Amino acid sequence: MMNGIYIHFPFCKQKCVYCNFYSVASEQLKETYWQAVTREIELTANYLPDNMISTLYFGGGTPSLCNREELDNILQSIRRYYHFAPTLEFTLEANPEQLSPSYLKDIKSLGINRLSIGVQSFNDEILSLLNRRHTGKEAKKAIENAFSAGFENISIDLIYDIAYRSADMWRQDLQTASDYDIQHLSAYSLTVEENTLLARRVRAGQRYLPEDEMTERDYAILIEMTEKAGFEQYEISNFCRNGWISKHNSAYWQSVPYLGIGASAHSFNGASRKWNVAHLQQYIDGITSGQPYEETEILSQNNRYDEYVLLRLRTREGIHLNEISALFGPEKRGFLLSKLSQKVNPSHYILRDNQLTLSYSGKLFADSISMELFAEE
Amino acid sequence: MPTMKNIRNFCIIAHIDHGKSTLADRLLQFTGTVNDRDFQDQVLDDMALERERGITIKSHAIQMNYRYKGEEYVLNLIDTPGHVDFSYEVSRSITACEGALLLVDATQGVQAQTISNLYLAIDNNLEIIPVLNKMDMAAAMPAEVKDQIIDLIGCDESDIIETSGKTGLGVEELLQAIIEKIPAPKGDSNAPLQALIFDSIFNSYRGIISYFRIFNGTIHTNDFVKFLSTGKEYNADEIGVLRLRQEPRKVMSAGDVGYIISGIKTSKEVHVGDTFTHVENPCQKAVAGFQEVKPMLFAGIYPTDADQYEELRASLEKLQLNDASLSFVPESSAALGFGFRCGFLGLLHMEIVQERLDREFDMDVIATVPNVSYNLYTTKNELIEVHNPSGMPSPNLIDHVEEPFIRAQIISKADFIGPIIKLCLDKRGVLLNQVYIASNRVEMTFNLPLGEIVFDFYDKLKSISKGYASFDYHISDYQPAKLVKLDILLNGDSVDALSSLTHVDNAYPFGRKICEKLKELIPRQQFDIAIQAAIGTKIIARETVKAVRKDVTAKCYGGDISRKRKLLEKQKQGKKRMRQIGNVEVPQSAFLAVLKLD
Repeated sequence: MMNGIYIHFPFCKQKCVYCNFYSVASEQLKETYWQAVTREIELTANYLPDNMISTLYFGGGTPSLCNREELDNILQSIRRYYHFAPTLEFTLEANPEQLSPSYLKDIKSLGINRLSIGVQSFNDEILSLLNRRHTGKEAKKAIENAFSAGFENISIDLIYDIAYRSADMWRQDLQTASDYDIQHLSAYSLTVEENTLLARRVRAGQRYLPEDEMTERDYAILIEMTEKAGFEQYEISNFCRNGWISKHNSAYWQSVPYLGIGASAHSFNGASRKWNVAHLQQYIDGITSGQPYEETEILSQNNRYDEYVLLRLRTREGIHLNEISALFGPEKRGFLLSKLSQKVNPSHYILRDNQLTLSYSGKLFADSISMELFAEE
Repeated sequence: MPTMKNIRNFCIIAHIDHGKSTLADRLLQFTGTVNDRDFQDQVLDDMALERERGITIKSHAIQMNYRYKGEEYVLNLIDTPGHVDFSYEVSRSITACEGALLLVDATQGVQAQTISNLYLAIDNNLEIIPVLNKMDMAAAMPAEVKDQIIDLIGCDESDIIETSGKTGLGVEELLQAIIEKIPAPKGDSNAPLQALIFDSIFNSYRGIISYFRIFNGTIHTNDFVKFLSTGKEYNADEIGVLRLRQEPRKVMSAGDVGYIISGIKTSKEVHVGDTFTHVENPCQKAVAGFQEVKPMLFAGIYPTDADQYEELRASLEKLQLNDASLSFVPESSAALGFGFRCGFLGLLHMEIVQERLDREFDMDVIATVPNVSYNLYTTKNELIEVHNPSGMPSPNLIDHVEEPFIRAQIISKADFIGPIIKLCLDKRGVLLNQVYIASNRVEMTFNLPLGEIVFDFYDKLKSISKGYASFDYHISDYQPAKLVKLDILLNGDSVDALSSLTHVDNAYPFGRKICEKLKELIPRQQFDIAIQAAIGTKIIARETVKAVRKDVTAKCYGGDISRKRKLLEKQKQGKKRMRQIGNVEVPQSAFLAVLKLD
């Protein structure tokens, strides 16, 4: 059995316009927060079905704001309750401006073997539009430093679908990224989430989102260029070279249990999901006083089916009809097939050998297709 | 039993929100008709919907006792509905009384509805007692509003009673005025029975309970009675007076107000305004003023869930038990399936029926574009009443069409005359009269096509007059009209539920507005959707809903999974409620949109 642990670091130097992950731009509560996280690791020691960990992910916020000692303390706490698999994938999310050679050396010595670098773009105009703190030059430097420090599994994030960005600027970003020997690329279309700076700016009339035609064009460029550069699209927004998928994130899409620690972190144990309060002080108070700091949702059979459809359709493996029958009963398989033929545009999917995947054009409509296939009362 | 000279029958004429129900509650409290334990604010408005909207939909009646100068008096308060859709019912309530309280809000002054009902009362020779209500409010303008009242009815300033339903100010003075000023009923208890039905309600255990006022004669329990308009005969199983609860009596006679239960099962058999008498020794004529109430507005009502057609029929039948003015016949629509074409008194009545279907029967319905009833003359000179766009025969069979006109009274602050006249002229109105009823208040009378006020007239009137204008109308006559059938097409398919009959001059702007509104309301789908308005084969307006190019979540990790799933599950619920027209999914709101065009 595979298990993953996610630790949330809810601190940032400043908020990026698009980000809806929970974080605060003040490190005032940092110390008490680490104490609470340490305590939560202890409290949740029996949550996962197995104490062998195959993926460990430090995400945020900006976990690369932590120094070696802080990261090590957390790691020690985890080791107290869990064994690490020999093939452990240990990821740190990092902002380019923090990846100096000495810092990289420090974190490598902790066993971190995968970096997910928040590049977003190599273009300075775009970076400042997104409220990022680094420049294109610093992003390149960070990647080069990481290679020099001996990291082999490097992922970078890029954002597309931004108004005013020309096709050439997007090609340029993709070209720069692919020219490096990185193993992984996450390319996200800019999304306006509620309660973000971006949402406020868009409401105030600032143009961030592109015209429809541009969205299609940017997506076409993404698919064409990543393919040419030897990447495989194994999930809607994720591309890997040589099979180096993100094992931790893949676990989410394969419904593998995971434990999330820290404010706003989510956990899944196969039957229910729980999530911690997205508020630093409430989280800390909850942990220390024993007051509830989390909510739990028990998933019905239909909820689990819906999630299976939603998540699997995003992946290259797609939905296995035999697995649908095995997990949810043969009538669900029949239901899914009938909805598929009635409601989904045939050019949007590929059904071969009992395996249902989305076509190139279907991937652009993954959400509506999932919804059509969702269970009905 | 009180003698006739100690009975006072009266109603209250007031505009919505002028505090009628609250003042009525005070009268009931003061006379001890309700004790504090029973007291529920606004006793008279006993339908939840009425209570919420603060208006009286159906009329009711209640009896009070009051001791004055050593004598015991019986006061019957007959409540009247407060909306233009129900003006016929108001007229029947007025007929049942000898006096009326003219209740005016001291903060707002006289309104159109008050005036038209006042004229009705004066025509019926009712004694009018002017009452200035809400005197406790800081915004009260007693001097100004008193001047309006004096201008209106020519009374002395000292005749006007100042009250506050809230504090109870003036209630005693008011009760005394009712006894002193309103004449006792006249009539002959020994003459043949002549009783006016002014309202009826449906009770699921007892059937129809009719409210009546006896003008002449005497009725005993178990008398054999006959309703004149239907000619049907019944046994008077129970008669009685209306206190907080019904109180049976053995005998009632001229001047009395009460109820009769006679085994009638449905409201269709009882017509408000009808007269009943004894089968033996009947009266020679009915109480004057009876009319068959005809619905003036028609719309299709369809169940949201097509499986609920039979349930909808059952619900409408039940509604009809206590709402005789509602009519319905089955119809079907290519877009909406099976439903009913319903007839209503007006827009408010239509809204009330929809809300009652929702609240009392848990029925989710879609209503189509309403239209008025047109008189259509064929080339063979036959008269056809058209209630439905699809009921229009082909143009070569039509000689001409007539549409109903109303006489509308609008009262407003003088500041808004310009915009109001413009609004009415835009609605094809003709200004008949304009009088200043006070230095800055104007009463305007218009002739307007009823079809023009069906949509957004009232809302517009309120907004251009900053809420000050009040409006009342009566159907006046039918006049020739140039009508066209306006069709709406989605990707080339005509949507019958969105078709409407409209005046030729309005067809272009109306068609354009519908298309624009539908563009807002129809969600983008995976293909372009053409929305067109057409007269016959001629397209007069077009909008396009562009195809969605992308619908995919960028990030879907730990925390996003539940959130996304719930969002899509909710969307799926919403989609289930949409109607499939050709390949286009149309939300229910689109069918209502045409009612709310700017």
